Parts: sequence; structure tokens; C-alpha cells
Amino acid sequence: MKSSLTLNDISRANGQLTTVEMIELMDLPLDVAKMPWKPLSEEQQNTYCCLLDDLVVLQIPRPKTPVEEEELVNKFLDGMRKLFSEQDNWTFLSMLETSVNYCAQCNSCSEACHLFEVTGGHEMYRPNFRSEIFRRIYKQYVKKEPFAKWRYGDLDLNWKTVARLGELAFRCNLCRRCAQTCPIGVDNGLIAREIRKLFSQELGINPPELHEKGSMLQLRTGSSTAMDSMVVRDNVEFIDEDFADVTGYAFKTPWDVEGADILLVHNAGEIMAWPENIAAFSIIFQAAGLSWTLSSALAAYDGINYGTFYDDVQFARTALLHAQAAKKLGVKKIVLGECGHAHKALTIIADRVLPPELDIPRESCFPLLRDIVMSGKIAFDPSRNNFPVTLHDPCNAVRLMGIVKPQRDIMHHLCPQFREMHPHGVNNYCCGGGSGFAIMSRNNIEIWRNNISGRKKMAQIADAFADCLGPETKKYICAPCSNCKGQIRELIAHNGLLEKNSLHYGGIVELIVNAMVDVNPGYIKWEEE
Amino acid sequence: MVTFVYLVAYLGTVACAAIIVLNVIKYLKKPQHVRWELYPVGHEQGHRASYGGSYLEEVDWWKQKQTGSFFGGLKALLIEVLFLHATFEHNKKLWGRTYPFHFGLYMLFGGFFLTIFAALAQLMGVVPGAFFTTVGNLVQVLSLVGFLGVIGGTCGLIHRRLNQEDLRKYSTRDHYFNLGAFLLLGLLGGVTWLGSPSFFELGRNFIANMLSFKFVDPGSASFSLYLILGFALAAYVPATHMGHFYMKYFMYHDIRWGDQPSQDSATIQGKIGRMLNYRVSWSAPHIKGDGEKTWAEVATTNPSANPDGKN
Repeated sequence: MKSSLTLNDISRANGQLTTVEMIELMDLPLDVAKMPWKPLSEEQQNTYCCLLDDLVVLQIPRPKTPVEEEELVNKFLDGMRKLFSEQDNWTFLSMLETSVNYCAQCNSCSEACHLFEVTGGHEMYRPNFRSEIFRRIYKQYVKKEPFAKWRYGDLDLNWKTVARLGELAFRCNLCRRCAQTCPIGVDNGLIAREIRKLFSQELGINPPELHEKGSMLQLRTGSSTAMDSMVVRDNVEFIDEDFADVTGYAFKTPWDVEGADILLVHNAGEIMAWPENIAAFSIIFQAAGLSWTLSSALAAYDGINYGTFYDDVQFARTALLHAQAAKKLGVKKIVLGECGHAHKALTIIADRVLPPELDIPRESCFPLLRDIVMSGKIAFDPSRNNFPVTLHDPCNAVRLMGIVKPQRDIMHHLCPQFREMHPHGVNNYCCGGGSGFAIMSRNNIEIWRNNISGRKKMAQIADAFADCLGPETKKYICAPCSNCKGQIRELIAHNGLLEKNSLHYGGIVELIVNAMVDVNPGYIKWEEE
Repeated sequence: MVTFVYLVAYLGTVACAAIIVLNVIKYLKKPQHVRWELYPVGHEQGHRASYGGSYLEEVDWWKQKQTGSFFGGLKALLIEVLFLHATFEHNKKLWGRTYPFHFGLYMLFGGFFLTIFAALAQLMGVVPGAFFTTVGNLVQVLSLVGFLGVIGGTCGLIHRRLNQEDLRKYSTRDHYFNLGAFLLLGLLGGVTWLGSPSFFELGRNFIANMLSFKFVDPGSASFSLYLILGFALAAYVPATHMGHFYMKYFMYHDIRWGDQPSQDSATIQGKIGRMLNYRVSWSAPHIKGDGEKTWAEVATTNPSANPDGKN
């Protein structure tokens, strides 16, 4: 196996191409063990193309015969042609073509990537590595540029090239920090997403967590949690009762209120994993006297849209269901709860997918929460939040939407010991669970999330709490995004950081309710991490 | 040889303009893409511009038309173009080599346009005097700085691509050919500058002759070669990845900073309507695009709830 890769290794090498050695991983100022990769089973290796490294995310079926090998290559080329077709890829064609045609190969983007940095500059994680393989295949085999072999180098396109490139598309969190640094405007994150899309939309190959158990399940039952509308209403009713008792604050979450001002769309994962987030929204909105509702229509009670990470068609289907639910209720606007990709999906990307009649105004919860906190409608006691708090910026809501300050206004108002991570805001680092990884735990993916993708975030957290890192001080990582919380939960649990460093995590609404005078003290349950 | 020089000059000029115009038209005729902006956006206004914020930080943001600041966008782009700010921020070692190269090209372009201006003045009968002397001295300086920048920059870039492992892996014959061509251009220009009393005079006379279709000897062999290579590059560069010098405008303004909400643009709304009627041929089982179904039809089909395709 090679640690120093060249572009042509993608097609020439036999067997597993590379690995990331533990010794290469960046050290942390935390007591965190580097977890060795588990060997992939013989069955996995016989069933899937386990050709890149120690992970198998995409699970491309391993071709059994030369005919199947050729078929894989041909389907891939068909998909690549469609990526460059106006009819099939109107959504992203302009971005893809410019990113393929105008890269100067300066590699200025490399250092921006947290995966590249924490692996000591492993070539596989250089943002341009997969992009340049993709470009060379396109120029040599699809566009057939004159003298392409001579000009750019002859890259052999075989089934191993295809399989490894597909996997490579999932060695990226799609945080687009690399794109932010590009002097020209090339977007290597976009190219990773387009490769994912090619595999999903043409070959029907996608991670099951995103597709069968993700977008398809959501389209069938209404939520990737598999909760149908009856179950979700029961669960929220239970949350209402439970948290009304705990907080001493009577509240009721409204459902399907026609003509309400606001349709609030949560990530349904919160209902299952973090009910305190759901309850906190209900308490705040009721206390602020808002006219609002949840919807029990298909998919409208789950803001997730995993198509954002891998498939335009699934994206459009889900976004339509969200908009149709709002239209049916006749609300004035949709407000997205604490879910970063739901923010970007419905507010930004869907803006040029939804027809005008379904273009219901959509906004983030953060400005609304900021306005509520600052309005004086609710009495707060910030001393209840007098513990060290830092803020994680979800890439989708911050770098990709420019929603930076409202969260900070709340922090400064309610959290006396608030401190920033560095860098933060639009220059933040991904939590490591971005683009769907937060919900994947198989085939070494959970080890990857701890060893590699979450490593930079752990370093940032440790740095933010450097003055109080010991277990005697309870510390709160505010991660106002369901996927980010899932990833940070894993980082804390896998590494025992609750016991060792008293690191806790949660959303932003929990901090708001924790400081509400009308609510019993102690909304944040430190011991229940 | 003399005629050939002029022929290359005419063809190079026409090809350069045609390729740029065609590529811009091709880009503008592309389907309306979805929003994919990245913050900070250059045209953001007020305090928000300082930290990369957006209009989405406001409640009910759609109640006002989002316009952005033209000068904000212009300022951000000029800082990037004139100083290669992103390369300076993120790749200083490369910046130390690529900036002299780009700065050299800017100087040469500046000198070139001043020379065209002087040639037009000459054709209009302006008598040699203080005006030509001033412009001439300026062009002499710009050209010299330009040649030195291009020579130094290309040598530095070639050296770095050859010796820095991370760049060597990604450097192709194309890169070395391009850099080599610019190095040769700088050397030919430099030799001409040193070997002639006035590079400005040579340039002004050539352009005046070119504009008046008089195929007069350009003056020296090195200058003729410089002209042939320079005009050939003018035709070649816009067709390659170096075409970023004009496509960057769209990559920034239309994509990276493209935050215009569709509600503010009837044009965008009209385009979306057309795009939704585009045909889909993606083959995966959950799409089954047959080249006949439209995006609107595919997006309103729920293969999970209705596997038989009926809604």
C-alpha cells in the first residue's frame, strides 16, 4: 500500500491502494487514543470494491467478470456525459464546467482541508486529488480534447479507477472550505458531490444511510427516522408533557394549524435523540407569543433532505414535499430548526428549484431566536448559563448561507463565559460529520469520524477551553445543527471526554431556555450526556 | 516573413476576441443553475461585509429587495485580481512566484494599451513631441518591469513545479509548455528592449502599420519573433485553463457570490420554469429517466411511496 500517491495509482494499483497510518495523525491536547482500523472481512472484500483505503462507504458491488468490469466503466462514462449535459444537469452544469476547465493546479486549497491537515498531508485527502482524476477522465474519455494524453498525462480508465473515484467522493465532508480559498473560484467540494451524484443517479449506487434508509424512507414514511405522522405526533405530545413537568412551564406544541404565521420544520432526529431541543423551541415560541405550527404532512415534520449530499432528484422530491405542506397550511413562512443542511437545502438550493407558486418564504431559526431574545418579551437570567460555552458553526448555515451573527448575539447576551473557536464564522471547520457521515457507523466509518474527520474540531474545542480543560469545570459546546451534534456526541462518547474533560454538547435553544426566568433552573442536564 | 508577422497579429487578435466572446456567450446561455454561493460574498453591504454575513441574518429578509453593493463587489474583485489576495492568504510561497508573473503581465498589458493609444494618435496626425515622449517613457518602464516580472515569475513557477512534490505531481506538459512560452515571450521582449533605442517606437510603429494595413518590417528579428509569439499566445490563452482571467468574473459574481433570490427576478423564475421541463435520462432505478420524462414529472413522482410510479 502506498502513502505517497500519484494520480495514476488510482488505476494501476492492485488491491487496497492506501491507508492512513496512526502515526501520521495530528496529535491533540486531549487524552484521545488513535483507533486502529479494523480489517475488512473477506466477505466484504468479495462483495464490494474495497480498493481505496480501510473504509467502504459507497459499497460498489465488485464486478465478477470482465464483462461486468466493462459495464461498470461504460455506465460511469454514460453518467459523466450526463453530468455535462444541459438537460440532465442544468442544476450544476455551470459550476461543474468552470471548476473542471479553469483550475490552475496551484493546490492553494490543500491546507484549507481539515482531512488533509490532520492526516499530515495524505495525498488522498488533497482536495485536488479526486478532482484532477475526474478532470483527466473527462478530458481524455468524454470531451476527447486534442492531445489530451500528451498534455495532461495518460490516465487509464478501468473498473478500479471508477471504483476508487467513487469511494474518493466520500473522503470529503463537502464543507467547501477548499472552494473558499481558491483564487479562481474552482470548487473541489462540488466535484466530489457531482461524482456522488453520478453514482447515485446513473448507477443507482449510494450509501444506504443516505438513500434507502434516508431519502427513500423519508419519501415513504415521512421521516428518515421511520416515524410516520401518528408516531411523530405521539412522541411530541409525550415530549410536551414530560418537559412541562420538568420545567414547570405549561406548553403545548401546535400541529397542523391552518393559517399560522410560521411552519417550524425540525430535523426529526431531534425528536428521537434530543427531545430537549424540540421542547425548547416550543417553550420559546409559546413564551414569545408566536403564531406557529408543526405539520404532520408527509416529510414536513422532518427537515432533512439527504439529496443535498448525493442526488438532485431526491433533493427536489423532498424539497417539494416541504413546500407543498407549507402551501397547504397557508402559513406565511417556513422556519428551519437547528439543522444546517436543512437550512441550505430549503432556503438556498430550493430557491431555484421550486416553481413560483410553491416559493413560500423560508428562513433560518437563528435570526428569529435572536430577535426573540433581544425583544424583552422573555425574562432571562444569564447567570444560569455561567459556565464556559463555545459555539460550533455548522458549515451549511454559516459558510454556505452567511448566517453568522445572530447566534453570536444570543451567546453574548445569555452566556457570560462565551468564547469563540478559532477560526470561526465563515472560516470555521467542519465537525467531521458533514455530508451525511454523522449518520454512518459501519465499515470503519465510525473510526474514520473519530480519527480523521472529527479531529480538527476536537482540536478547536480543546483550544477554546484551554483555560479550563479539566473535569472540574463543566463546559458546553453549542452545536446548533442535528448532524453536527450527532458527530460531537460520538467524539465525546468514543473518547470519554465527558469523564476526562467534562465536555457537554447541545443546541442553542437549550441555552436560551436554560436562562429563562419562568422555567425551573437546570434545563441543561449535565449528567445525561 | 514580414507579411507572416502581420498575418499572425491579425489572426491572433481576431481569435482572442472571438474565443472570449464565444466562451462568455456559451456561459451566459447555460441553463439557470441553482444557488451555490459561498460566504463572504463581495457585494454584501455594511457591517455584515466585515465578517461574511448575509441578508439571511434578518427575519423576513424577503420583504426587501436584495440588491447588494456594486462597489463592494468591484472592490473585492479588484483586490483579488490586482494583488492575487487569495493566493497571498493561502499559498504565500506560490504567491512570491506567481505575483511577479501576473504583475509583469499587467505591466505589459498596460504598456500595450498605451502603445495602441499612441499609435492611434500617430495615425491621427499628432506630431512627435512632449506627449509621445511622456507616453514613450512610461511604456519603456512598464515594458521593462513587465519583461522582468514575466521572466522572473515564470522561472520561479517552473522551478517550483519541478521541485515541489505537491505541485510536481499535478504539473503536466501543458503547464510547462505554457510557462515556457511566456518565458520565451519575456526573453524575446527583453532582448528587443535592450537591443533597440526605443521599444515604444517599435511597438507604436508596428501597431500604426497594422491598423493602416501597411506591412512594413517591424524592425528587428527578435521583435518579429516577440510579436508572433505574443499574438499566438493571445489566441491560445483564452481557450485554455488560463482563460480564468475573464471567466473569473462569472465564477465569482454568478456562482460564488450568486445570492440573488429568485423572488427578485422574473428572469430567473422564467428560466426555472423552462428548466423544469427539461428531459431527464438518468438511469438509476429511483429515477428511470427515459429521455422523455421532464424534471417536473420526475420530481413530483414518489418512487418510495408509489413504487409503480403512480401519484
